[in-house]
Amino acid sequence: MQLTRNKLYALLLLACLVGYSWVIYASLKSNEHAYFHFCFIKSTFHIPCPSCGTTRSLIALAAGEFANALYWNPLGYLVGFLMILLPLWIVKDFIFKSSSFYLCYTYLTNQLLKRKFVFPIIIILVINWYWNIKKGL
Amino acid sequence: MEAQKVDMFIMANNKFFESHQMNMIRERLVAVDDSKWTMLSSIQFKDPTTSLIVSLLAGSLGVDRFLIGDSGLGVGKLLTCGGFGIWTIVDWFQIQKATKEKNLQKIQQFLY
Repeated sequence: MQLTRNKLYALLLLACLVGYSWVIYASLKSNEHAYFHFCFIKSTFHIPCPSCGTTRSLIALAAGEFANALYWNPLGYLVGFLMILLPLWIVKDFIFKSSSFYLCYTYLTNQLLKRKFVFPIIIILVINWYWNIKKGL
Repeated sequence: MEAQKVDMFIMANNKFFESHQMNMIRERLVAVDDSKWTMLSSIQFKDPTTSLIVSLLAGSLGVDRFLIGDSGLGVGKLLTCGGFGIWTIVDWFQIQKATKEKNLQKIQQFLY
């Protein structure tokens, strides 16, 4: 299955929808301390994965607690940014019948695999993972 | 291209493609110019078995998607704990097909 423009847009809109519903659901649940973990790594090895804490970070961001959001997981900033940007950009593309986001996506996809980007990203993620384990999320 | 060369290519690279794609690839290979042989034989294809192993071991980090060149989906998988674990399981079964599709896209650049 080749990822065409419309497939990509549908996939991302669906992902954003699931993301928003999950965050809202988790924020309603968070008072009861009844988190259940979807995370494979966490439920099998009992250590947090690099993106564990993102939900809590997003909830903190929504409440305006920026320091807390950074503490839970800095990746929450990236996810939050994407969750706001992507739907707007896709809707804009639909209205103007352009594929600017699709072109940008394919460009970034190819760029990300370049050596100069891959290694710094891996190092940052590993550091973040180590921090996650130390925090004991 | 000569039938012998085409058969050699097909035999050597059989496992990198879906079986239903082989006929099309064979027809195209017979039709293309002989000068493309050097390039065709030097293409590095991604091994579906390797991507399956990577998917089983590090699927929830999205490494399998990065491996086959879908870095956009890889980032998505990484940021969502492997798509809440569901995408990880789906990909255990889908990644070999996805790898073969990527290989087809790669060889198509040389066939037309």
